[in-house]
Amino acid sequence: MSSVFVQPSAPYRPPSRWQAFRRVLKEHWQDYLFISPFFILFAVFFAYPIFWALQLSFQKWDGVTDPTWVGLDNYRFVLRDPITRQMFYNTFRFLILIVPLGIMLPLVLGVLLNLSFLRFRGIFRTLIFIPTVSSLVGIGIVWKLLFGAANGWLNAVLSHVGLGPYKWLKDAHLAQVPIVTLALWGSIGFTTLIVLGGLQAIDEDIYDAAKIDGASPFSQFWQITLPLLRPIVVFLLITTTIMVMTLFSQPYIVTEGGPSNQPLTPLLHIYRIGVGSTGAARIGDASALTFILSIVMITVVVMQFLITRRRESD
Amino acid sequence: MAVQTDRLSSQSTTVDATRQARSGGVGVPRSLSRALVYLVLLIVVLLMVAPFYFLVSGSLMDRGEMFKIPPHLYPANPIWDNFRTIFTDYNFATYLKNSVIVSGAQTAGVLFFSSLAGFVFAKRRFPGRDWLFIFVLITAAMPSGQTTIIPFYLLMSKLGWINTFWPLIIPWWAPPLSIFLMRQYIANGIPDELIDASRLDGTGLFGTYLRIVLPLSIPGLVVVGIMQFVAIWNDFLYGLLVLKSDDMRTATLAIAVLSQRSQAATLYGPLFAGIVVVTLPPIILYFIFQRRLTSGLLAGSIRG
Amino acid sequence: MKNTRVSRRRMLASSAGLGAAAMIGGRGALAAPSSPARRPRSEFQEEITLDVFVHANHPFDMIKPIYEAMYPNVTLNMMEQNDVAILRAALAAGEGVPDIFWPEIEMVQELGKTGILLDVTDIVEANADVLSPGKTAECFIPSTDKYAAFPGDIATVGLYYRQDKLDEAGVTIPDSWTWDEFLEAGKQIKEATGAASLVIPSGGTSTSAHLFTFLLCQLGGAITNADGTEITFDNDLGIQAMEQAARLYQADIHIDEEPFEENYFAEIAAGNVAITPQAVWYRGFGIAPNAIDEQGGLGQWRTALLPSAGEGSLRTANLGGAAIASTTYTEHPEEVKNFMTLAMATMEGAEAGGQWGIQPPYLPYLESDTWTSVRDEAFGEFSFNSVWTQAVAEYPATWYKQPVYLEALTTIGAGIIPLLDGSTDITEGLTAMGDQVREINTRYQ
Repeated sequence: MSSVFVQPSAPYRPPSRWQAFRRVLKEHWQDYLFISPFFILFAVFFAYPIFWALQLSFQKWDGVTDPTWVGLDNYRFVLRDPITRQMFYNTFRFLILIVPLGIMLPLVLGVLLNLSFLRFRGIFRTLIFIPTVSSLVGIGIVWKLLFGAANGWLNAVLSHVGLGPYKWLKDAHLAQVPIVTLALWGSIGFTTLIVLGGLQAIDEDIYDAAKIDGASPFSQFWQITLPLLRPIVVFLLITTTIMVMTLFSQPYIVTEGGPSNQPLTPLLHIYRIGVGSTGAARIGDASALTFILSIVMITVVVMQFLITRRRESD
Repeated sequence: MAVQTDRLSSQSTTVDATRQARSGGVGVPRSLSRALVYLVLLIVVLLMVAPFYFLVSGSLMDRGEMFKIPPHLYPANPIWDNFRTIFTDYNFATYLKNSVIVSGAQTAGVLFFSSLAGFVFAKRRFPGRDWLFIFVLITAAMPSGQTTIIPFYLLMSKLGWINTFWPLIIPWWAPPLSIFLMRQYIANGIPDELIDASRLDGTGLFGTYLRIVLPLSIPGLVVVGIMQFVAIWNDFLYGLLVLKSDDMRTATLAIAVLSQRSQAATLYGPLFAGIVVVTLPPIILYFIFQRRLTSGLLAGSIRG
Repeated sequence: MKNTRVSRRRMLASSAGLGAAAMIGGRGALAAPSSPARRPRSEFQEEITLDVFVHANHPFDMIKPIYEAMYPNVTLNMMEQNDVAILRAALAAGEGVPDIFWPEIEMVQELGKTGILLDVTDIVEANADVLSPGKTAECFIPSTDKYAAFPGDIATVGLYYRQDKLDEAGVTIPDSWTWDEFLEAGKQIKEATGAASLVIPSGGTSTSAHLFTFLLCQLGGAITNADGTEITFDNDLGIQAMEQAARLYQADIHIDEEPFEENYFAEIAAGNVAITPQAVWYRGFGIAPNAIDEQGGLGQWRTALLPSAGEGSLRTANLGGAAIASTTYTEHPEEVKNFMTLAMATMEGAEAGGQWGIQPPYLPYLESDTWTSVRDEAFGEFSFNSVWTQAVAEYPATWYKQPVYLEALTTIGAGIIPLLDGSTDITEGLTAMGDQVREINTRYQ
């Protein structure tokens, strides 16, 4: 099984740049044409707003009057701001909570769903997948009522087994629960199916050999299944990391950055100080934070990518 | 709704060894460990479905019942009228129609452009290909949405696209993740020989794409298409930003507006009914395509 | 859903007046207010549509038919769009800007400084005699020496309480009492009925700071000084207010929920709330929709002024209260101004808004029987509006809402619980918050 990601090709050394360029263009113009929609759309609709925002990150702007150039002042301020630290700390905590679960749960569910004796496999798979296609706007309201203290459905159910009531939306530690569960609930169906796809591609002969060697089911999982699923685990790792670092809707809907800014995420804070609240139009600060976040995100993702790749080639 | 007989079930003898080793080796009775597996799956399924139960149950309640302490876990007297209200008192038929137009037009574009790019990235060799592909992937990690609201709106305004569906359709035609999935699918799912043969017959690149790649990548297209359709169906940030008039609203946007109204007023029942109605089309779509979708996903779009 | 939350916060962001307290008593003899200039009706009149950004179910919905009957050539296009982010985007692009919107005071102050808001000085001054001076002052921008918005609703704060719960506990609310006496009554009520007398969410959102802001406002303190250059909530008045708030918190007579969200509504409906200090608009927002049966206190709800917070304390505070604004982009400034005047400075407009549940700034209406005779099933035959008229007389003159206001409340809310429960020293904690907000406030200068 090869890597999820392609190997960069060897550097291309033409005899003469111009000549080579013309030859490449003549041979490959269709290739470039066919991939060009992405680059055109990206340039117009994403790069342009992003560069605009980059420019704004060096300016002080109220959204109405002419912006004034302030150099690195916005960056200096937001990097010193304790809320920025809190935000990245929160994100780090969400990463620790969500990423392992976002990888382990699909792996476990995938393995269970792949057991040969399992009946009703299709029904299980279907029901686990359904949350993936549902709307966060609508479900967010349900989530708030689910996790209410006195009137919450979850506490009502728990009280039947003598637990609670818990203040899910107020307690600084418990409030992670509604957000983490909402994020996982909405994504596990998709990731489980991807794991299942990977499992079904594994040649069963490998297991037969292991069985003859007397390997226990757990060591089979660790020594055979997991290494063979590596590309999928890498995919889950990177997509879950991106999901966590851009977490917005879940904390916004469920607790709005409370309790005590504990689940305040970078995007939520950026939205709040930039455009989302009355009185506050710190668009320059918000833009600076956006770029700090982008750099952190791209660094993390590229690092994950490089680390997992190097291990693979070992 | 079940897929008892799909071909995948028959493939899944792969972990027979695991099962046998477990039930034999550790000394746990086979039936017990099996029961445990069913129990775990049952609990997971219950957790996944429970929010829908409360959603539907809430859609049949009035405000008073929804806010009871201790809460009612099911409606005492189901109020089916909530479902009538959202079509008579609100424009839900129009909203749903708009959602179908926007989601359909966007998905069609995504299918075309990402399979075309996926094909080229998967099967063609040309200078810079790999770096361009890595660039595509990196853009998936770039922030957009909440952080670029003002520049995006300014751009839409300059293009004259305010209060049209275009801002919800065209910019999203080539999402990086869809290109990635299509590339993976085509790289693994379509043998090079088929493409080479077609090229040797003198078919042009686009012709090969149309005649060979497109028909053979249908499972991948179903995965990308459903995921995309669902994503745009459920999005409302950009709709809120650019759609100004009521008759242009999408269903999800209408839910967002309805929930805004309901805090002060008393419309939780219809609101929940609206959420049910908005949630249904993607679920129905999923049921229609679920065999193809699961086999597309299981066929290993992500496989290396 | 997302945007819901934004607009909700906006609606709730507390606000207060710059101006002097209105002396309602002396206003009765005032001449009838000038009606908005009526245009001569003509067949050749241009058809005009004004775009209005409001949240759905807004007081303007009730004023719209009156306005359109009066000006048949003008149509109000109610856009159910009240998201700050969208307004900002529209202003930056100069496209999709509404002709009329309903901003909170800190937004008026923020945008007013930029000069983008329509100058309405002429109609504000023309109606100055009939408008609440405190509310009017909120719309004045010192740096431009102009009124950038027309006064909207006055969100005075008082107590909503349930007569049946108080009777059950043997508690009567005296004409004059202190928060400490309130605290004792709250304990008595809780013991007798189990119901709460305060709502303090421990979640650390900006609403966690509301009780503190009520007390601070009553004592004559404020979050900032008049022009927003200084942060003042951690001064002696702030310490006094926080100490009072901590005593109230530690009495354990509150419900720990967000007062503007579904889970608190459920507590009201279940009869777990005996008293709740809230603004005028909370009647339609949280009380009436939830007091639908005996359990929720149907017919039992009453209003009263706030207890006194100490020497010279006001008996009311401020929570919310918007204004009507337009921008320099509007092509129909006259029609916009006519709407503003009709909505908030005539009997017809004020009555329509008052019926909806806001408190218009139009003084003749606030003294009229029409206002005091408004009834609501949740309140039985009780004249809840009489209390609000008294509250307007004490409408705080010094509760400044500058652009940093909401961020200050968020900062206070995030850190307030350790101060309230006594685990952090109040003076130290408050100073630390003050310094944090001071740092943020440098960005607004």
